[in-house]
Amino acid sequence: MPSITSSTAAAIARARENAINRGGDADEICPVCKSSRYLNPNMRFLVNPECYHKMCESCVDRLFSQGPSQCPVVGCDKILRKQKFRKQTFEDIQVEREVDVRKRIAKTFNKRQEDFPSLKEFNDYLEEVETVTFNLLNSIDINATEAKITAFEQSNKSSILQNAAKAAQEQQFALAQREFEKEHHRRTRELENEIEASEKRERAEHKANLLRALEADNPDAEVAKVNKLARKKSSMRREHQERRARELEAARNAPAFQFMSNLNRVAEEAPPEKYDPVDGFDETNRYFVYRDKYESPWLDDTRNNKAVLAGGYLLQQYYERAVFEAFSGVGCFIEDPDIEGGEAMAPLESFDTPMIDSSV
Amino acid sequence: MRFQIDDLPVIFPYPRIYPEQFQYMCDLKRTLDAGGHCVLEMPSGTGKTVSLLSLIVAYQQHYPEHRKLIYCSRTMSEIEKALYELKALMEYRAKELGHVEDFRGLGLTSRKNLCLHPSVKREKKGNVVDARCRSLTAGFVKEKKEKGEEVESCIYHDNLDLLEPHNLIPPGVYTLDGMLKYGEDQKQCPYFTARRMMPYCNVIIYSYHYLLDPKIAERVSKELSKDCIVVFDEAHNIDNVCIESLSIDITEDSLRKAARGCTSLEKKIEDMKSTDADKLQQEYAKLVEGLQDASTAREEDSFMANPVLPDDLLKEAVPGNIRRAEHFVAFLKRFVEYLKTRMKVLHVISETPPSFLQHLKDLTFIEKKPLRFCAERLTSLIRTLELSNVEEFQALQEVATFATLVATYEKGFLLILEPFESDTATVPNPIFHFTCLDASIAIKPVFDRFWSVVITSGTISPLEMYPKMLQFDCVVQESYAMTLARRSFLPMVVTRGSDQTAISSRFEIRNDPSVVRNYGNLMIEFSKITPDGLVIFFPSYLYMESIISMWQGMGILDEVWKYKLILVETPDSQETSLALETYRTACCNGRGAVLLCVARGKVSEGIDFDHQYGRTVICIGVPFQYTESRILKARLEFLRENFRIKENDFLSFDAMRHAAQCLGRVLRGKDDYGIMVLADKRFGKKRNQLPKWIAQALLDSEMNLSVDMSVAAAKKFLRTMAQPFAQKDQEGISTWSLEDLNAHMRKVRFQQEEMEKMQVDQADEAVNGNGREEYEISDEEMDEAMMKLG
Repeated sequence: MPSITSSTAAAIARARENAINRGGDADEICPVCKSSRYLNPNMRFLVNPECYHKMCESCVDRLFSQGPSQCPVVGCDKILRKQKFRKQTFEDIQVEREVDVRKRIAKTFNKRQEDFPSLKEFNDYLEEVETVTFNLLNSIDINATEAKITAFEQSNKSSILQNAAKAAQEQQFALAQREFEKEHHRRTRELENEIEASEKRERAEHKANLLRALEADNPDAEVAKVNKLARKKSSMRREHQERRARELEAARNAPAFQFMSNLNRVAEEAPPEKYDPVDGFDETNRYFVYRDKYESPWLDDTRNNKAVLAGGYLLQQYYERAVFEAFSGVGCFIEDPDIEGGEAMAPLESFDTPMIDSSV
Repeated sequence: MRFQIDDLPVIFPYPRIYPEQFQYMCDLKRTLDAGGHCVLEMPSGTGKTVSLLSLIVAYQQHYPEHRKLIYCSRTMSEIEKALYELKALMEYRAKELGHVEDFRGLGLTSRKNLCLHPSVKREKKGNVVDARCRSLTAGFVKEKKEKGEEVESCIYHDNLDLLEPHNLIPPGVYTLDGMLKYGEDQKQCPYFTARRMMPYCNVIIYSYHYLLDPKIAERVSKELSKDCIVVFDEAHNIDNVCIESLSIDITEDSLRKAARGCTSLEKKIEDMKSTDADKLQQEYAKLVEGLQDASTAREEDSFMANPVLPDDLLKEAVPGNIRRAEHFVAFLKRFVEYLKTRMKVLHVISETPPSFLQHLKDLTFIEKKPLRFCAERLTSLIRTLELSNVEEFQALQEVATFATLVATYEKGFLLILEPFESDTATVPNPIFHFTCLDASIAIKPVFDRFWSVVITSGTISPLEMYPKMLQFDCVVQESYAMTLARRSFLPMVVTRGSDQTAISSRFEIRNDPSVVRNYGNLMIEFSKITPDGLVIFFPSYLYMESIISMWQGMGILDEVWKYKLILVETPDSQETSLALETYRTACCNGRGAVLLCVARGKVSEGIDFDHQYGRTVICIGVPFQYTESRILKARLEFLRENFRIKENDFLSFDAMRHAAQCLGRVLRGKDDYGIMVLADKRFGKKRNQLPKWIAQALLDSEMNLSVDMSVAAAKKFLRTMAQPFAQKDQEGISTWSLEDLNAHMRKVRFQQEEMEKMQVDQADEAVNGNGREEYEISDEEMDEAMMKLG
C-alpha cells in the first residue's frame, strides 16, 4: 500500500516538474537534435548568454563537454562554453537578454536621486540610461554607446562604488527589518494564543470551582469566595499579560533604531587599522612619572656645566633612562604565559596608581 | 403631511408616518447638524428611503447652503426605486407648497442602460457598449471632425455641445426611463447629460462604485464639493465592495492578452512615429513637466483613471525611464514577462508588496517609482495614440493598475499565488490574487472629503463593527426597533429535530443522515403548513447539492412534492431568473412553491419575497464563509492585528449579517407577515448579533425549539394572522397620523421639560441636602461637646 502511494506521489511530482519545464508548449522540439518532449519527457532547455540560442540539456552535454566550441545553430559563429549555459528565466528570449543587459548597466549607472540637484535632472539622467540600454538591446550605435559607458565608468568610479555600497546596505537593512517584523509577528501571535488559552482554562476552572462550591454546606458563602478568587486571579493574569504586550510593543520600536545605528556604523567603515610592528606592546609606562629635576649632588655639576650641555647632552634623557631601568622588571611575570597582554598587567595598575615617586 | 423637527419644516409625502421613521429623521438631522458620519439601522420595509429623502430635501431647501445629496445604492432596481420615490416626493412638495421648487435630481448608471445610439445600444455586453461609445465620442473624434475628416460620431452626443453647458436638461426629477424618453425627444445623449449635469444637481443617485471604485470615482465624482451629504443605502456589504474595488486577479490568460496588447502598442507607436512623430514628441514634452499638466487633458473620454494616487504623485513628473513611449512599452513588457514567470511556480505563495517589489527588482531591475506611474502613463499613451478599440488593452490596463497599486501601498495588501484551483487538482491553473485586506483604504477618501456620510441598511448589526472596519468616527449610531400593532413576524430558533438530536451545519456532522433527515423533516412540515411561498437558504452551493441528493435518496423531496413545487437556485443567473419566475407564478396561482437557494447568492441579496412570495423563510445552518480560503485567512489576520477584531468575532458577524439579510427578505412592510426559522444549534448563542428589530421579536421561549414545537408555534401564529386586521387597528401604535405625531412631540417636549425640572430639582435638593447635613453634623458635634462639658 505505501509503495503505491509513494509511486503516485512521485508521478504527481513528475507531472509538476514537467509543468515547470513546459513553459507553455507541450510538444516543444529541441532545435538542435529535434528531440521532442514526447520522446523525452524530462527535457530541459538551456541558453547561453552569448547568443541566446535555445537547446536541450543533452545537446549541451554532447557538444560542449570537450571544451568550448561553436554554437550549433546555423549562421551563428559564437564560441560557447558549457559553464555559461543556464536555465531560461523568462519565456520571452528578448526579455531574457534585456535583463542581462540591464544587469550590466545597473552596475555602472547606479546614481541616486540624492546625487542630483533637482528631480528634473535625475529624470533626464534616467532617460539617458534608458536610451543607452535601448541602444545596446537593439544594436543601435553600439560603438558609440560602448564608448559612452566606458567614459561614464571612468569619470564616476568613486561614486559608483559608493552607491553600490549604499544599495547593498539598504538591502541588508530591509532584509533585517523584514526578519524582525516576522519575528515580532510570531511573538505577538504567541502571546495572543496564550491569552486565549489561559482565559479558556480559567473559565473552565472557575466553572469547576463553582460546582464544587455549590456542593458545600453553605453554598452562598463558598460561591462568593470562589468568585472573588477568580476575579483576583484573572486580574493578576491580565496585568501580567498586558505587561508582556507592552514589552513586546516597546521591543518593536526600540530595535528598529538599533538596526539603523548598527548599519550606519558598518557604513562609516573605520579607516583600515595602522600596522603595528610591536604587535600591541604598550610602551607607555604606567608605574611612574618623570620629574623635571632630581636632586642629586652627583649630577648638579653636570646640569650647570655649559661645556657638557653645549655638546647636546640632555640631563632629562639620563633621568629617564635611569628610572626606566629601575622599573623595567615591574609587571613582568615569568610564570605567566601572556605577559605582554594588557589583561595580565591590569591588576597591577590598581596598586600602582598612587604613582611611585621615583625620586628616592 | 407637514411637521417640524426642531426648526426644520419637513414635508412627508404620506398622510401617516411610522414612529421609527420619525425617529430616523430626527437622528439624521442631528447628524447633519453636527456635521459627522452616522450608522443607522432601520428595519426593512419601513420606508427608509422615503424618510431619508424627505428629510434631506427639506434640509436642502430650508438652509441656505443647499448641500447636495449623493445617494448611493447597490443595484439598478434600487436606484430606479429611489428615483421614483424622489419624484413622488417632489410632486407632493410642489402641491403642498403651491409652487415648483428649482430642483434637479438625476440618476446615473452605465452607458449600457442609458444609450440611445441605434446600433450601439443593441450590444449585449456592458464593456462592448462602453468601448464603442468611447470610439464615437472621444475628444479626438471631434477634433478630426472639425478638421473636416470623415469620422463616425454619435449624433446624440454631438447635440449636447449645442446646448448651454450648465443647463442641458430643465430642472426636475428624472427617473432613468424619464431620462431616456427626454433624450429620445430632444435627441441628446442621456448618459452624458447626466454626467455633465452632476455639478448642477441637488440630488444624484447612483451606484456605490461611482464613489468607491477609484478607477471610476476619479472621473465621475471628483467635482463634488465637500459639504455634500453622502448616503450609502443597503450598506451592510460595504466593506466587501471596498475590498473588491481594490483587488485584482491576474490569470495566465489575462497575461497573454496583456502581452499581446504590448505588442500591438509597440506596432502602433512605430506607425505613429512614421506618420505623426510630432504628437509623440508633444506628449513627451508634456510628461517632462509632470503628470498634472497631462491630466488637465483628462476628460470624460479618458479610458481609465488612476487608482487612488496620492496628490504628490500627480504633481510629480513621470520618471525619466518611462517617459519615452518605446521605453515604456519595453518596461511593460518586462513586467508582464516577470509576472508570467511568477505564475509558473507550483506552490502557494503569499507575500507582501515590499517583498514582491524586492524580488521584482532583483530579477528585472524594475524600480518601485516608475511602477507607481504605470497606470497613469498607460492612459496618457493610449490617449496620445488615439486608440479607440480599447478593449484590446483591457488586460494590459489591469496589469498596469496592479503595478500602480502594488507600488503605492505597502500595508493592507497581500499577493497570493494559487497555482491549483482546488487541493486535488493536478493541472495547474494559476491565479495571482492581489487582494486588499483593508476595507478602509477605498473608502478613506470619501470620509476625508465629505463632512457627512450616512451608512444605513436594514441589517447592519452589530453597529460598532462598521466604524471599526472602515476606520471612521461616527456621531450617531442607532438601531431602531419595529413598532407593530400585532406580532406580524415570528422568528424562531430550531435547535433539535423531532427526535431531539441537535441539528447543525457544523462541518463534522453536516452530512450525518440524522441531521439531513431532520432538516428534511423541517422542510416537509413547513411546506405543509405554509401558505404560498417558502424560501430555504443554505450556507453554500456545495452543501445544498449534497443535501438535496441525500433528500432525494430519503424520499423527502417526494413528500414535499405533494404540497409544493420545488425550485433551486444555481450559480447560473439565467437559470436562476427562470426559477424565480416560475416560483412567482406558482405563488400567485395558489399552488405555492419551495425555493432552495444559497445565503450568499443572488437571491439572498437583491430579491424581495414580499407578501405571498414568502411566508416562511428557513435558514439551514449558519452561513459562515469558506474558512479555508487563503484570502479570507489573510484578511482575518489583518483584522486581528490592525483593528483588534478576533477571527471568530468577524466570522460570526459576517455569517449573521448574511443570515439577517436572508431573514429580512420575507418581511417587506408592516402589513406583511412571515415566519423566520433559524435552524441550527449554534444560532442559540448568536441572538445578540441579530438586528435589534429581529432580536426583540425573538422570545426566550422560542430560542431552543425542536421541529415539532416550532411547527406548533408556527400554526398558532398563522392562525392569528388569518384574523381580519383593519387599518385602524394600527393607528396611533405603528402608524401615526399628524395628530398622533403632534401628541408625541408634545409628550417628548413635556418629558424633556420634566427631565430638566427634575434635574434642576435634584440640583436644588443636592444643595439643600448638603446644607441640612452640615447642619445635622454640627448639631451632633454640639451634642458631643455638650456631653463633654457635662
